[in-house]
Amino acid sequence: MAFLILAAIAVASAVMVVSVKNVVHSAFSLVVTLFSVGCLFILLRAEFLAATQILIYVGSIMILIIFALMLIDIKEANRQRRFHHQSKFVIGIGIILVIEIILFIIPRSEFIESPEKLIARTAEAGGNIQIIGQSLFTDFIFAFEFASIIILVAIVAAIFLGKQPTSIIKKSSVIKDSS
Amino acid sequence: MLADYVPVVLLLAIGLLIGVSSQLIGKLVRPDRPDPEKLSPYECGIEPEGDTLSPNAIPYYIYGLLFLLFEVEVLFFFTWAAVYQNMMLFAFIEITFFAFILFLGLIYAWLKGALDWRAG
Amino acid sequence: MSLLMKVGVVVGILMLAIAYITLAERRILAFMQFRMGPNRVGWGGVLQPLADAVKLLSKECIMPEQADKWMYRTAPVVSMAFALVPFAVVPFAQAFYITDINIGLLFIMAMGSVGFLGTIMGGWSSRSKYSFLGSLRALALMISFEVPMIMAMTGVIIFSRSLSMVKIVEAQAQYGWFVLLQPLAFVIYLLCGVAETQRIPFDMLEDEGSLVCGFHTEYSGIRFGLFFMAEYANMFMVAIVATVLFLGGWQRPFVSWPFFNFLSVIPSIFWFSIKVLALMFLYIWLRGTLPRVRYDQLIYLCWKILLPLSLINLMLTALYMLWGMNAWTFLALSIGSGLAWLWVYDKTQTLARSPS
Repeated sequence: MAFLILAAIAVASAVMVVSVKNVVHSAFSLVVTLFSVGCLFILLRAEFLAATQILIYVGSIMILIIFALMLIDIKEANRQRRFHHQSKFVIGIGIILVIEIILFIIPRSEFIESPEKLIARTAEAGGNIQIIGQSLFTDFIFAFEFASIIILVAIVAAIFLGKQPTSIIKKSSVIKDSS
Repeated sequence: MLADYVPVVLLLAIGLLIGVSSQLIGKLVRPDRPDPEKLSPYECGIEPEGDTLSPNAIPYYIYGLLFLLFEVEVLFFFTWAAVYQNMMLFAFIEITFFAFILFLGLIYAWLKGALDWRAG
Repeated sequence: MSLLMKVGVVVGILMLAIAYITLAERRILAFMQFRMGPNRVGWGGVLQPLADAVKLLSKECIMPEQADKWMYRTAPVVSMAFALVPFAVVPFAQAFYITDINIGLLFIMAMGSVGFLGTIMGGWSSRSKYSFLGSLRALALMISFEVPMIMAMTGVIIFSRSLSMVKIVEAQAQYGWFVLLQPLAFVIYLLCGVAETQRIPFDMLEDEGSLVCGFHTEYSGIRFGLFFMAEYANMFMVAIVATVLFLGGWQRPFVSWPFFNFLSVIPSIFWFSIKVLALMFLYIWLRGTLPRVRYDQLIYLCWKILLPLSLINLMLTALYMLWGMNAWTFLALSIGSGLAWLWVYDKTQTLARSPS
């Protein structure tokens, strides 16, 4: 029940994102989408992931997107047509993805552990976040340290882009043209 | 576990209800006498000038980017802190490495002047 | 107590607390500035909040003609709702909390960050330069200060091993109040808290000297009232989180010393509220005393002072746990390193300023 409501909200707002004419409105519809996806993670008992989703996506990536929208001329962007000829192409890709999910991903995916066992193990460790911490710092240690380096690279890249404000404006005008 | 979140939903609903109902109730009692002067955006009494939504957010945008990256790192610290007492030395070495790289990023941003405020 | 009753009690008390903290703030500020403050409505002004509520409800809500109508109406609702939600996980007294979720602290931060969106929605949708600039500034500031804030919390989590608010309070029965182990983190948290709630001296949101009133310049009547309530609810939340994390929540003072057991006679809700109110008083006091800080100075405070300091604090705490060093040494080390960083920062500033 809760799943159905949240899923309906997520899908409806996602449709809004692409169909609403005003770019800022579509950004805020994206907020709703991301927020309800975060709530869906709670239904999956992935609390930490849910909080992270909301904190990172709603709290920072969305704010970044909104800042980026403030960089461009919003009135001009609103005047652009939202759908060009590529919409047929996009629908084609969507259909292929759905078929792929139904035929290949759903039959092949399985839980590494049974859900009941996982819930029991989570309760034993004290909670979701402890389980994540334990596996992050034992089994996935290389990925963890690698993540720090990726973030360092991203910091360098962000500063490089930020040092040349004109390049950001040029990029955003590219986005504007294709939206 | 899911039952723990029912009150959260309840409070969210109450919050939304307060927000919506107070605006609706207010509608019944408050006067509504708009005129063009009242409805123009406030600019210290002068006639509004130029476009409101002029693009000027570049300095904010850089802080936003840096914030996003640091926020991701900081969340890793949370998971680390929750299990630190179970693994001690090993976790300490790992986090020292991690924090060192974070610190490098901060120093780099500092030296490159990305933290300096430039009025947009 | 049933769930509905608990929620009702919490929301009711919160609303009362918000109403009366505004009165208290005005009276205290007036006292600090040798004025009287509101004292006409009721005995000594006790009915003033009620009068304010009636005034706000019955006042005309002006909406600028170019405003984005639905977003303009939604913004205060978003602010209000997401200011209220975090109270679900607060342990107000021993065994009195609405719910205890595993990620309590992170949940509070997440809901707070959704609340920021109400600010930018309000600022953007009213199509006024002041609102727009105010919300951009405030947003950049709020998100910047979130990083050292979360970092400061991490030091506490090392001790409590959990993000659940209830477990954090309980852990302090073992270690004593965390403010004694994490003085640096406490100071960082308080400073970030002032910035997050946009209070003087860090109130870039409502910098009336240059921005009139920040993001709610164009809001009037009950819509302004909603923003106002949300702001005070956020203030309470910051004070509550500081209390829970660093001041022992509902625990009595000297909690790890059995000698002071007689203090347990006083109910735990008293200790909790006295601590929260003390922090609220601190905020009002700051507002009455300090001038506003310049925007760039504030940004530097966040990125160049608080962020490295919180990182240092975290590493020191990890070392403390690893070696099990003397608590006094640890205390001296963390305060000493804090001062040392300030000194280094000051040197870099002087170097940068001197013509070379």
